[in-house]
Formats: sequence, structure tokens, C-alpha cells
Amino acid sequence: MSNTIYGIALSGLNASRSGLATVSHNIANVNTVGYNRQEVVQNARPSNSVGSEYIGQGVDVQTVKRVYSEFLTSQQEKANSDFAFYSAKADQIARIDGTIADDASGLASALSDFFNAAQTLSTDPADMSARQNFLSTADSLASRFNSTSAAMDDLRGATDLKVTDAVQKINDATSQIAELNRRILSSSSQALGVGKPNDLLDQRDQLVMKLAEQVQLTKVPLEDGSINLFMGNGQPLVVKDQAFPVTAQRDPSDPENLLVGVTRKINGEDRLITFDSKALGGGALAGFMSFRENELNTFQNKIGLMAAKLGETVNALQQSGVDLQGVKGLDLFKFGDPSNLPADFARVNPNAYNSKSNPVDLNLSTLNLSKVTGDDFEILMTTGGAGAKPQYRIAGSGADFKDVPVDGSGKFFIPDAAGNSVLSFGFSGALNASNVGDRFTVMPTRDAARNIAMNVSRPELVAAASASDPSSGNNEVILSVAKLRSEGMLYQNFSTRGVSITEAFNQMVSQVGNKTRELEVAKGARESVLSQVTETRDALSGVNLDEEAANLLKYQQAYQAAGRVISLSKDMFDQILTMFQ
Amino acid sequence: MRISTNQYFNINTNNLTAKQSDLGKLQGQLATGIRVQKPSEDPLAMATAMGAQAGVKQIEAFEGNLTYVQNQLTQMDDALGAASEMMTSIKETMVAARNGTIGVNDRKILVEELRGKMESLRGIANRQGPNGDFLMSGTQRDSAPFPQGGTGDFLGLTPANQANVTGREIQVANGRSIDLKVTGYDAFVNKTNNESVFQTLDNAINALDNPGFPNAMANATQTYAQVFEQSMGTMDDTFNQVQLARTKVGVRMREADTITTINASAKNELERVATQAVGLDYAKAISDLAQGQLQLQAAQQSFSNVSKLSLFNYLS
Repeated sequence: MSNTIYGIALSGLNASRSGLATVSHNIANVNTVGYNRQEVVQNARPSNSVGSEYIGQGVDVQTVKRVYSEFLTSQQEKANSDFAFYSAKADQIARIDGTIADDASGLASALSDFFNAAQTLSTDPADMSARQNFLSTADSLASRFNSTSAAMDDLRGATDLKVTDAVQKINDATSQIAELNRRILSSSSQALGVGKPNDLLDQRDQLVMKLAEQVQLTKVPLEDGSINLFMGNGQPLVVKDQAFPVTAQRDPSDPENLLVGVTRKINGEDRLITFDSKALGGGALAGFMSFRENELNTFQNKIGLMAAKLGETVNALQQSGVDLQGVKGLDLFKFGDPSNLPADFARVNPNAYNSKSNPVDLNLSTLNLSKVTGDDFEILMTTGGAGAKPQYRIAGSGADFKDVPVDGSGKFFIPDAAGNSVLSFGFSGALNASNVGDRFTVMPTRDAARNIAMNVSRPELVAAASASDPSSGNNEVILSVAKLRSEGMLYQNFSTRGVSITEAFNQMVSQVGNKTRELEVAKGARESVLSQVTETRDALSGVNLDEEAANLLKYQQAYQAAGRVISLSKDMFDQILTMFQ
Repeated sequence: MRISTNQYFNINTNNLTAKQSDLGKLQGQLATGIRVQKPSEDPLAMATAMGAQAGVKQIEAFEGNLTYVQNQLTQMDDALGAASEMMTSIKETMVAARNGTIGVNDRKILVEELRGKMESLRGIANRQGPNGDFLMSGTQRDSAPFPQGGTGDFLGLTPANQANVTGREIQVANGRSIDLKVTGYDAFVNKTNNESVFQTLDNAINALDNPGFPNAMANATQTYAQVFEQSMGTMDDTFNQVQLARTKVGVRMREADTITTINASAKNELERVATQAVGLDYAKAISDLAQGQLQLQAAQQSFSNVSKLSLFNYLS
């Protein structure tokens, strides 16, 4: 009899002790990131049949379970990827937004100063101090272009760092997740089908959450407790206890960029199969890559276009005039050393995997800077023509490739919407069938702002006078330079009047502003989704100290009561013993 | 709704930092007086302001150009005025010398007087600006228009080339220029006989200086009184040209004045546009700041009070 009571009371003591231990565990983990609160699930023991009655036998702790929702956790992972994507883009563009319109360091004032100096020089073109001032403002304009481009190169470098960092984080997380999968699979309680290794599961969920910040994931939970993870493009990251690492490598079509991918052997050659940022979906990695491919490339090309067109136009004017000694003018700006236009502001990148048996270069012949828009072009060689025939599309557009037309002089050319040549090119050698599949990336103005520099450093060499009246008081050429301020020399494919360089810069500032705003709004929206999902998950799974205090009292009282039952049953036993004295 | 302890702290700290960041932004605006600090805060306003500021800078260049033009025109006007006076004075001397009854000694005196006045006139025609440029030489600013001891031809050029010497156009507003094309050719070279005033005077003075003229000269067909008569006629024509040149300069000076006024009001307007686009409404910003301070204070107080409450305080 008392034996039974002992047993029942003991089961109560044990259950309460488990409850107290769980409450303590919860309290201890109140600040643990990713912790899901735990609770004891207890069941009454099946009762014994005594005659016609059933008498209870006490309590069993069935399991300690996590208060956890798979749905909310998946939602939080997805929200994390989305937020990280826009956060990466918005944070990067904010760096352009913060400096581009800055009056002290910005291009706008350097442009104004340059044209103002040309105006002043036009009043007295023989005045040496006005000539020196003109050269100084031209020099600071060139360095402003350089530093604006350098700031963008820094952002490109930051993207490279981020790609390296993301690859490391992804590989760390996937190998740990694979290891946790293995431990979860082998944990004995899992094998017996009772109880769950709650804290291992929490750890794994937390790693998945961190991974989701880097890349958008597809998670497939398996019956045995392990999970399989795939990237947005279907690339497996973790399958059971095996992790599949990704690598960072130089972009085969632009060695300035790092890309993420996996290495595969193709035709006996290790090739990087790169992941397209669009296919990756969310995550910080895709955000950084998308910023680089879209916003950064476009803005750097547009700044380059301004530098290239201003340089080209001013140089042509200088060459049409004469300097203070009546000698034909020299280029004011140069883009390389020595200048080799258009190759010095345009860049052509042959793909690293182009034909080795018949390597050919793509050479630019002409570049119409009034029709260039800031787009880069991808050239792909397909079958046809002399063994291979070029097709083109705007880089990063994902559009279908179109045949490249041939102009009157037999050069290939890329047309604008009206069919006018934007740029024309030829190949360094004869094409054959092995060139099919060759790729080239043409960046018409990518490097112009980076490379622009002064070609003339002595004030008397500035060509202010026209060749028709080479006297020192003639100001025709320098006046034409001053008037470039409002001449519509850019973007003539959108309107015949074109856009002046000052307007073009202001438009770009407004584009940067609008884009930054758009991305900030998108980031804000993702942030509120994320915090809402996080709150919902926390509301379910987070630890509340007041609640734990109440549970502490509850289990303490139950423990005390069970203890009292034991001392009571001892009293009862003593009573029986005294009966026989 | 159930809420976790962590969540409670997170929500509160997020609220507090958001409010602090709003206040920081307002303080930045108040310190600079600029509402739009970055393009993203108001892209249209920023582009408008930048366009207007570029316009202001351009007008500042035009203002500099106008100052130069006005200085240059004023000096030309002064020179042409002085030239008129000197030519009037020369004519008075010539009227005295025309009198056929004056004696040889008087002639010598008059010759000296006329030579002196001619050199003064030459000095006026060869006046230089503060930068050493010859005002009347057009674009050939380094050459004296009528050098002493020269042929007397404008810049030593043939009559056909003299007319081609031109002056600078100076841009003074968008689409408006003022030219400095009034040259020594316009003012001092007689258009009927392509003779400069110095050549005319030289002839007259030589005739006066030659007492035997015309009888001592073999092929002379004129008396010196006749030469003088003719020279004075040419001088009158040239004098009118100087007046005409001065009028041209005057017209340009008035235009420069008008454009100065137009530029000033355009600059004011552009500055107003820029300020309106990105400038700060102080009254609103100060009231926002006061409101933000109150909100932050309330949030801090309620957080510090409520977070003290815990059931554990009552467990002993």
C-alpha cells in the first residue's frame, strides 16, 4: 500500500524535478539567439485494476518538447533572405547617394568651375593667370572624375569581399549543418523514436537562419529528422550528412568581378559554372551581385560617358585651334598613355574560355559617344558566316541574342533603336568553326572616368584662338569650350537636341536618388515583414521570464506536495510498525 | 498575445533607436539649414536645386565677363572721347595754320604744336588696358595699332586686310554676347581714301614744314593752303568716324548695363528656386524637434518603469 504511494509520490517528484529543470533551462537561455522554449509533456500512468476499481499509478514524463512551428521558422528564413537582399543593395547604393551630390567633393561644382574658367579665359585669352586657372580647373575636373570612379571601384571591391565572405559563410554553415544532420541522425533517442535532441535542432535551425541571410534556400525536411538544403537555382548545399561547397572565382567574362559557382570538368578543363544573381533569388550574396550588375555598372558607365564625351569634344576643339605661339593645339585630356581612342575609354573583355586553337581579338573601330547610353554589350559567336558569326545583346538584360549587322565599310556594328551605329568593330583574325561559342563583353565607357588625365600642363599650350585668326587676342576656340556647358552632346538617340553634360549629371543624381529611395522602401517593407514574422515566432517560442517564474512556483509547489506525500507515507508506515510494538 | 521577454526588450530598443535616429536627422537639418542632404531624400528637389545652383554658377561667370566687358568698353569710350577732344584741338591749330599770311617762324611753331598734338593723338589711339593689351587692336592685342615711326597704316596692314581685323565676342548671358569689335580701323582710318588720321596729319604737317611749298617742288599743283583745306576735310570725315565708333561703344555699354540687371534678377530667382527646393522650413523643423524630444523622453520613461516589473521581485 505505502509502497504504491511511495512510487506514485516518487513519480510526482521526478516529474516536478524535470519541470523545474526545464524551467531553469528556459531561464538560462532567455538571451540565447534562436532558442525555442521547452516544456515538459507529462502523462498519467495507466492505472491498476483493483477489483472493480482502477487506481492511479502516478505520472510519467512523456517528452520535453520544443515550442516550435516549422511554418513560422520557414517564413522567417524566407523573410531573412528577402530582407538581406534589399538591405545589401540599399546599403551599397546609399554610399553613392551620400557622396554624388556633395557640393564640396562632387562633380557638379567641378564642371561649373571648368566652364566658368573657360568663360573667364575667353575675355582675355592671352592672360597667363586665366590660362593657368583654366588648366587647374580642368585638372581638378579630371581628378573629380577619377575619384568618383574610384569610389565606385571601391564598391566593386566591397562586392568582391562580400562574395568571398559569403562563400566562406555558406561553406561554414553547410558543413556544420551536415555535421548536425549526422549527429541528429545518430542520436540514440532519435533512433528509439522517443524524445528529440531539442538543442541540436535549435542549433541547426539557427545555422539555417544564418545561411538564409546569405542565400535564399529551399529546405526539405526528411522523416529521419535530417534536412536537405538547396540554393534558389537548385544547386544542392546539404544532402543529409554531406555538404556541397561553393567557390568564388574571377568572372570569365570580366576578371574585375568575383563570382560564385561550382567547378565542373568540361572538355578536360576545369570550368566555373557561375550562379546567375537572378536565379539565386534572395539573400545578401544575390543582393550584392545584383547591385554590381545593375546599378553600379550603369552608374559607372554613365560617369565614364560624361568623361569620355567631354574629353573627346574638348580635345577636338583644342586640335582645331592654335596655342599662344600660334602652334596647332594639343589634346587637353588623355585617357591612356599614350591615348589610343576609343580603346582607352572602352574595354573589350574576351571570355576566358574562348577558343584556344584560333584565338581572335575583337577590335573596336568607332564609338559614337552621342549615341552611347551606359549599356554594355555581350557578343556571342554562333555558327554561320566565315565559320562563326557574331550576335549581340545588352549585357545583363537576359534578352535573346540578335545578329550583328554589317555597315557600308564591312565592319560589324551595333545599332541604336533608330538603326544608327553606336559602335563598330572587327576581328583581329579570320574566324573559323572553333570560334563558335566565343564571347566578348564590350564596355564602351566603363574605364573613361578612371583614366581621364591632363595631357597639357603648360598654360601657353591651351589653344584659345582659332586657326583662321591665330592672334593672341582671338578667343573663338575657348569660347566654344565655354559654350559646351549647355550643348546637348549626350544621349542624342533619345532626342535630337541631346542632353548637356551638366543636365546629364543632374539626371544621374536624380536617378541615383530615385533608385536609392526605391531600394530603401523595398528594404523597409522587407524589414517590417521580417520583424512581424520574428515577433510571431518569438511570441510562440520565446522565453517569458514572468511565465517561467509562475512555472517555477507551480513545479516547486508540486515538488513540495509530492515530498509531503512521501513523508506522509513514512508516517503511515511508522504507524503500522508501532501497532506491533 | 503572448510576448517573450527578449521580444519586449527588442521592440523597446528598436523604438528608442528609431526615435533617436529621427532626432539626429532633424538636428543635422537644423545645423546646416538644408532639408535635402542626399538625393534619395527628395530626388526631384535635389535635381532642381542642382540645376539652379549650376545656373547660379554660370551667371557668376557671366558677371565676371560683364565686369571685364564694361571695363574694356569704358576705357575705349574714354580713349575715343579723348581722341575727339584732341582732334578738335588739332583742327583749331590747323585753322590757324591755314592762314596764308603767317610767317616762316610762326609756321615752325605751328609745326611743332601739330606734331606734339599728333603724337598725343597717337598715344590715345595706342592706349593699353591694365593687362597691356592694345584697346584698339582687336584680336591682335599685342601690337600697337598705329606705332610711332610706322607707315601709319592700321597695324601695318594693307587696306584690304585692315577691315578683316576683328575683336572678341564675350558671352555675357545664355545666348547673348557683346563684341569688342570696335577697332582703330573703325575709328581712325578714313573710309573714303583708306588713309589713317596720322597719314593725313603727316601730309599736312610736311606741307606746313616746307616753306617753299609748293613753288620749290617740281610737280606741285597745289598751294599748301589747298593741301590744308583737303586735309581738314578728311579730318572732319575721320572725326565723324570717331564719333560713330564712340556711339557703337556706348550702345554696347548700355547693353552690358541692361544684361547686368537681367542677370542679377535671374540669379536671385535661381537662388530662390534652389533654396525653396532643398532649404529647411525652420518653424516646422523646430516643432518636429520638440515633438521628437517629447516622444523619446516618454518612451525612455515608460521603458525604464515597465521593465522593472518582474514576478521574480516577489519570489523569496
